[in-house]
Amino acid sequence: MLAAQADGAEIITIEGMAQKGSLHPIQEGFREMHGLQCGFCTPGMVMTAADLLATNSSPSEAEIRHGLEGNFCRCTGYHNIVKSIQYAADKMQSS
Amino acid sequence: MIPSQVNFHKPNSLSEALDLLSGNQDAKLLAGGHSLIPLMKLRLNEPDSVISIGNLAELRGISDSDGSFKIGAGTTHSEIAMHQGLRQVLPVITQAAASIGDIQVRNFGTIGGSIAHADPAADWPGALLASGATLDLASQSGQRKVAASDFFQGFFSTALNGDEIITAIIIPKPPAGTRSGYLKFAQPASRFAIVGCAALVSGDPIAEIAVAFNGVSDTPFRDAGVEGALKGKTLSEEVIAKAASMAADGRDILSDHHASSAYRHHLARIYAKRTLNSLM
Amino acid sequence: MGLIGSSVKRVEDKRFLTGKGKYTDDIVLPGQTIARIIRSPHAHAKIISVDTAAAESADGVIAIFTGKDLAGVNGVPCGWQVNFKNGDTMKEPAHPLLVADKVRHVGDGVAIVIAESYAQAKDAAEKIKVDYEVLDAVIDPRKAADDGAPLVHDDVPNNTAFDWQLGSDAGEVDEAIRSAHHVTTLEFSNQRLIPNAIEPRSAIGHYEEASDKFTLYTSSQNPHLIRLLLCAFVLGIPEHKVRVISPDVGGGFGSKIFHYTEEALVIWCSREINRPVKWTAERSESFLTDAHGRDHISKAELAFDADGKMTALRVKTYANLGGYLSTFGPAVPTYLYGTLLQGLYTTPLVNVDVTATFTHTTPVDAYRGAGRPEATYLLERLMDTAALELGIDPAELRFKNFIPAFDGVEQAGYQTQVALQYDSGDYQRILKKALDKIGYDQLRAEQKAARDSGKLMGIGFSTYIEACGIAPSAVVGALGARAGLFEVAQVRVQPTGKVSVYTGAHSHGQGHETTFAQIVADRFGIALEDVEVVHGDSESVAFGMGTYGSRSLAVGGSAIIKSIEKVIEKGTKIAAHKLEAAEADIEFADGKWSVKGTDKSVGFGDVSLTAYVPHDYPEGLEPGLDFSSFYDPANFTYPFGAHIAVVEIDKETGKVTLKRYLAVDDVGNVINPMIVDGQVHGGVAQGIGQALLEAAIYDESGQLINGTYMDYTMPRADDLVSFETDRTTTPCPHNPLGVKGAGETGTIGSTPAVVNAVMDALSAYGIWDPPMPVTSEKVWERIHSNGQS
Repeated sequence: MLAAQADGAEIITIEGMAQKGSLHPIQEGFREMHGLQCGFCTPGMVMTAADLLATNSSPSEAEIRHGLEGNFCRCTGYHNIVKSIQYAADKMQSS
Repeated sequence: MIPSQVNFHKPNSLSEALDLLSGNQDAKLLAGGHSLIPLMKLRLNEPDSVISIGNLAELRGISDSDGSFKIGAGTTHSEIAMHQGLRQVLPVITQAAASIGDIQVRNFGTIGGSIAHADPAADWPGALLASGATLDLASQSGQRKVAASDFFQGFFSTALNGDEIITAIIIPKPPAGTRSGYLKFAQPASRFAIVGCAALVSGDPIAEIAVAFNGVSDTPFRDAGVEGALKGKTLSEEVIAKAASMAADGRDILSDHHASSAYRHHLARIYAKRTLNSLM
Repeated sequence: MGLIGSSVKRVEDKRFLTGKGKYTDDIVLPGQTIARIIRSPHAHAKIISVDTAAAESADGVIAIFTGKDLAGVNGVPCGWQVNFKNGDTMKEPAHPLLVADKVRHVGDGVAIVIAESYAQAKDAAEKIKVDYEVLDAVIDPRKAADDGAPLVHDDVPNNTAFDWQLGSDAGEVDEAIRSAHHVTTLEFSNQRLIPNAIEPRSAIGHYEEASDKFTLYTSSQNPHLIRLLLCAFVLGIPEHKVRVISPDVGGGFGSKIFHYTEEALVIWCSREINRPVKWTAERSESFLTDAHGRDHISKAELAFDADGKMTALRVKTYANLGGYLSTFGPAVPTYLYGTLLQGLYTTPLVNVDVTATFTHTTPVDAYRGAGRPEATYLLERLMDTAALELGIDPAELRFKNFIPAFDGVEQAGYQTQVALQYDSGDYQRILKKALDKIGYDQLRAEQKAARDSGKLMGIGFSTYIEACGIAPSAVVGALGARAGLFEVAQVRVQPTGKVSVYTGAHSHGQGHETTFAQIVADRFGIALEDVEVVHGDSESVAFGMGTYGSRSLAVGGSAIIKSIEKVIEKGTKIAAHKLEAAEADIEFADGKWSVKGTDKSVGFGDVSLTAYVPHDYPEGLEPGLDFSSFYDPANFTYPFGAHIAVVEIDKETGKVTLKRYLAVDDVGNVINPMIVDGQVHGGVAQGIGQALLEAAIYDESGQLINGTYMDYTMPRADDLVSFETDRTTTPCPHNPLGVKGAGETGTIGSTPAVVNAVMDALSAYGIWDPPMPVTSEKVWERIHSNGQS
């Protein structure tokens, strides 16, 4: 999208996920479950996961994989990204 | 991926948008931008200006009147996919919406933008043809209605004039008890449809039947052969198999490195069968 | 503290997870300019003229250079020489930074425009008019060798860069095949792939006139080698005047090993205009200019005796090198390929013959696995095909032919027919483990039930070996490498007992900052957070050979161990002095030096401080606690494994769905199991991508027709399953950590397993060699042509 299209919108980026130095549960999930390697796709993955979990708080593996359809990762084979999001879902539900 | 310099207009109303459009022959309408912006970044399309209409309130939302659903052209695919009323009455529409692209595309892309672009492999046309949709078009000189069946005219080609904006998609509510659905075989890289089949069916024996395809040919189409083979019959696997075997017969079928015409034709038959089977 | 073998969470993650990763394109230097390269739209064409007049006066344009302006500048060199069988020298045509005479692939650079902004550079680039005379192109590596094929380089007859042979006496192999009980023959292509690192390549050249020094920031897997090649071969700038920095790099998979023309161009241009010059590839450029992988056409014949024992293997391969020799292009289809054709088997006769040709396509070089996937694919496809032909279970056929277990210590390494000596291996054990883990008998029962109900389910095997941790400099030198392949590490103990580790390996996703810190913290008995790993900067790291060929831990980690040992040895001298004991009575463990048999000890921090504040200090001993080491290994390392894929096929559409994937690998000792598993997952996904989804498709005129993500099928999350992984551990006998290498096993093992599963699923229709990628349409055609569906 063009930046101008976002005029008037609230934008949350990866830089805004951690609060007061403590990682967001999704960020924590990626760290705990090794959901990133080179880190380049990571911001997109984390933000997509945030949207996914906002609409579905306990997604199945198939729903997570479907939800990640629009994001490429060339390092992880997505295996640990799925696990990271499952970790975050559990953590966010229990808190 | 930097596009050429472009003037960006963000009108506050439809009439302002129409004014801008009529005064600017080289302007492009920008809704979600999922088709236009990649072309601009590749500089395959270098409009002088873009008119951003994606967030015009009067183009957004779904209203449910007695006889029809009215979907604002600026409504996103996601909003349509989640709509409870449509999901109950016209699952063909919500299923088509849900099968488009990926979540980023569905959250920002709009139904009006998609159909105006008229990519033959897009998911909307089959569902709109099958459901008998009508499009509301507006220009400075007034409004007109065009049936979806008259709107799609070929490869990236529609009945939309250069000074017109699609404002809404009107979908008549089908008779009670109508079942409908959309299934696609996706191109593995882009997830566009190699074959998408939309169908509506009501009555037993079948009184109303519509079967339409996108992805198969350069223009989406209703398949009279399949429909004819079903009308007046009671749906059964046998009846469906026979009807589906005629799918896309006599059509000029697309061929590319993702699917030859023979394979596409075969998939049209299979997806006609699967879509209809899902309605039993 | 037991850090080795523990799944420590990665220390690098926090910056990537909070948006603080710093990749080359994130760097903005004061006065920075932006370069855009004008690239050929034709695969093969003479350049008649380049008209830059309109662009020169465009807004923001600082300079424009064409191939003619660079006439006196060398091209980028090739780093490996493979001569013809008859001894003739490899054909090595120049690979200019910008071409002046004729373009040789779509994407070949013709001119560079430098402007104040991306938009201005791009606008100006569109104003440059290049007049071409378009010529016929050749794409296929076999047709390229035909008489009369269009020539990529006018002085390279038959487009042949070299031909090459390895292994047993060809006559003996021919005879064994002629007289065999059974011969399985396959002819196939191992298709061209595009690496698709998610970070596009980027480079910034920064010339500083006052100091007459250059800095190159580049998204590279090996900054020191880039410096060496850039200085010694391309620009003739002395190395001490050039600093190369590879900051965070967003994936490489081989494609960022090589010295690319753009790196030299931004440096050269920076000096010309006396300002920093940045170039970052657009995704379309990545498709056209990142070195591609694979692209072999092969015929392979595997002979068996009546007992199902392999008696001979004969392979003929045509390898596509693309339009120019990339840095390691010649090594990939030869020493990284032919040498792996022994596999895990005792085949007494193996002969491989390779013809490597130029074509009008993007240069081909190492892509994750590099030669070894091609060898493994060939061999493992032959194995499952032979099993079907012979009516033997594919696992059983392997057990019949495996090399017996050897540890490389008690039992000697295994000498193959194709030059290598395997270090250690237990192949029976790993396949048994895989069969147990997948529940093989149960799986075959499920398959039978599926078939009885009309479904197509297939099980595919791959038991692979690879040679990695490249490698002894003397050996690779004898084989044509123009560089050494050692690694360098400096371990600097700071006065406070904190440790900085400088490694010549480069991390672009592998987690070296964690794994290497684990080794150092474990050996010194200090906390992980007291160790900092520095890499990717030629100014802080003395030298290095970078990361590729799964070498970082086996070679780079071993260099760190050497430096650690030197620190402990010197620390022992200091401790002996402090404890007033003989050196021989001092032992180091758990972070302290102790007098054996007493409770007298001195801690790591104490000794470190003493080394830098040497008031009371051993006579004649230098202050400081800081050691560098070069480690040149004795051999490659040889990881191996057994992979099993399970697929289902939709009979009506031909769509293949992966149901299960098991990888049991032996990578020797493991430092961080979490990271190793992650490497396996990513590798397996890429291998599955080759099997089912990915291919670079050129048309006859040399246009890449699927050079976008709308057309090139990258594996996505919903194309894959959660992988099952396990390990056996057979330590490498020749390096101090006993480690082998884990970066490429997944890619090497997985591709044939998946294709074998497809073949197995369709075996009811006869034995079929599914061409990769095994798309739905190809499978449907196969089923359809057998009168089904």
